[in-house]
Amino acid sequence: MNDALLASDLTYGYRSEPVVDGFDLSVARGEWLGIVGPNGSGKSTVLRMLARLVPPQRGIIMMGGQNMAGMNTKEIARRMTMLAQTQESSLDITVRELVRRGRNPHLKWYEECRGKHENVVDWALQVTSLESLQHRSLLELSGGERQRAWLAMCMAQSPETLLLDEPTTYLDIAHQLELMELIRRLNREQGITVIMVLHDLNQAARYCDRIVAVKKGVVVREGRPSEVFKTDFFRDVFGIEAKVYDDEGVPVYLPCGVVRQYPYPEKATSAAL
Amino acid sequence: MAIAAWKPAAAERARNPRFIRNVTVCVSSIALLLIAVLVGLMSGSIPIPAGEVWTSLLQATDTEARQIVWNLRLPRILTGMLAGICLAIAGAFLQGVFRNPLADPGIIGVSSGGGLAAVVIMILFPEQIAFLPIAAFTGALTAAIVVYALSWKGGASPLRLILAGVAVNSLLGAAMTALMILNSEKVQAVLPWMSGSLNGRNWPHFETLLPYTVIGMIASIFLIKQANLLVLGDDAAKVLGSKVEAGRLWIILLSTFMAGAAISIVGMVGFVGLVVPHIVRLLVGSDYRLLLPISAIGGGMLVIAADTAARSWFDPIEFPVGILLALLGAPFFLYLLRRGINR
Repeated sequence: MNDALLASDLTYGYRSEPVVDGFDLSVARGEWLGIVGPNGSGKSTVLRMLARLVPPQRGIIMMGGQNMAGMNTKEIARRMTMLAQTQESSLDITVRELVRRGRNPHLKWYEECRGKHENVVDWALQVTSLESLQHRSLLELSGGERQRAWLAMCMAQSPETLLLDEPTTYLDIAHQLELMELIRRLNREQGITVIMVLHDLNQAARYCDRIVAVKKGVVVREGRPSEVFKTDFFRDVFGIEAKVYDDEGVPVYLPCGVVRQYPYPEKATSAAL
Repeated sequence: MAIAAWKPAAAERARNPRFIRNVTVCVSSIALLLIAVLVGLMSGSIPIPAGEVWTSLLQATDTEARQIVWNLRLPRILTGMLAGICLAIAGAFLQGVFRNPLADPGIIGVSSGGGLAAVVIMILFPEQIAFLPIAAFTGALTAAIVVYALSWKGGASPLRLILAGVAVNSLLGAAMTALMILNSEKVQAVLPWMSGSLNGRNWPHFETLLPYTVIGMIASIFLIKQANLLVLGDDAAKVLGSKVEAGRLWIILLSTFMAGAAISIVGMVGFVGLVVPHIVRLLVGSDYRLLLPISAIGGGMLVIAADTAARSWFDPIEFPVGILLALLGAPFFLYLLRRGINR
């Protein structure tokens, strides 16, 4: 019952080629879970199923002990939100106006964002340090600021669970870390459960409480970063040779090369000679 | 969640710096609309001074000025205004739903569907000309529904809608051209309608278009919130608890309804639905609570102004308003675009 989200036997795919194949996941309240895996492993599809953007062909998702299939869209949106990798970039609205739209699931169809809802907007702008930019147009913001503005919109939903799909992909390293630190604060201080798909494994190890590795649509490794980050993990899941170091309790990996797929041809020739 | 404990910092909620600009745009667009109406009533082959326009509007006298102002110019101007309002609202909504600045009522087949139906009536059944508005309206709705149905595949994505629209448009356009080529002796009658004209539009036309416009405007108020979510992208709108497909269908239906009503009365006036929302977006941004009403005012104003120019500049020829709109609007639009890019 203490699970924020519980998924079991999630399956999705095109005909005979399953993208996700019997995926099980349980996420505790207040946890920061990282989902990693190579390209095409199905990790983004899993996240989209959790966000109910794609319907699973099989399996169920429980949110706080309730089957999500029976909940209405707005009810889910009041408790869970998702920040995508890229956003609509041609919108000429102010940051504040964008964040206001995050209140939509809490408003009745005839209601406007006013009164106590505006207080939540203020709060969302404050936790994302966007107060000074709130009247700027989205068009005038840098990539990092824009991503933060969309995160502020997600926060205005006052969610229990935040899903993120590689939100740092198009940011430079300073803005990547800034966003990760911000999410850490939301996770620690606001108790928001975070489920994040991410590419950068070192960042995953540094920030996530737990890592789930996905390959060919199934969970292949699961555990705390220090348990998961072993050389055979990198070999089996990503097909790379890597050295793993310890940086004050946080595992750090250094990729050394691609795992060779076949026995060396020289061996075969030398044996023949 | 610490929201409850959070004290709003009123100082931080400083007034939106866009507020003044938005108010200015609102006020000046209404003023321009009124000026356009007044100038429209004054000018034409017989110029009438403003004072005389005023008295003939207020008093049911039997003067020539009253005849011209009340029975010829006013209904024509008001019909044009309603058509402009309808086309601009439809264009503003469709650009948002398709998240494409090039979207206009033509993209979902409204113009080609309505056009084909009108050409069929005018060429094949000229004795049924009274049914032309109904036929054009039905044609427009049918074409839009076909486009929507063709693009449906577990949902109607903006891209598939646009592609289906292009296919249906070229098919209907080919049929229309074929009809006209096979009946080239009757094309003369069709051309003014094809290019959009307010020539001879009178009170009955206004009275036909009025209920459609009013119903459309009221319905559009309820779709503003939905449109504001849809422009964020399908995924974001869904995550915010919006029913994306239903919302998009309603907005497309409303746009078709309004644009179809407009072209059934004034013919294929293009450009208004494309250019007006675009200009207004450059001025006030993408928020539909402002974009929609100001586009409506701007659409009405533009059609009136263009029709006035078409009537008075080329006197005694009645130049079709649709052609003048394109001739004047296109360069202005390009100028704005370049300014927008440089900004």
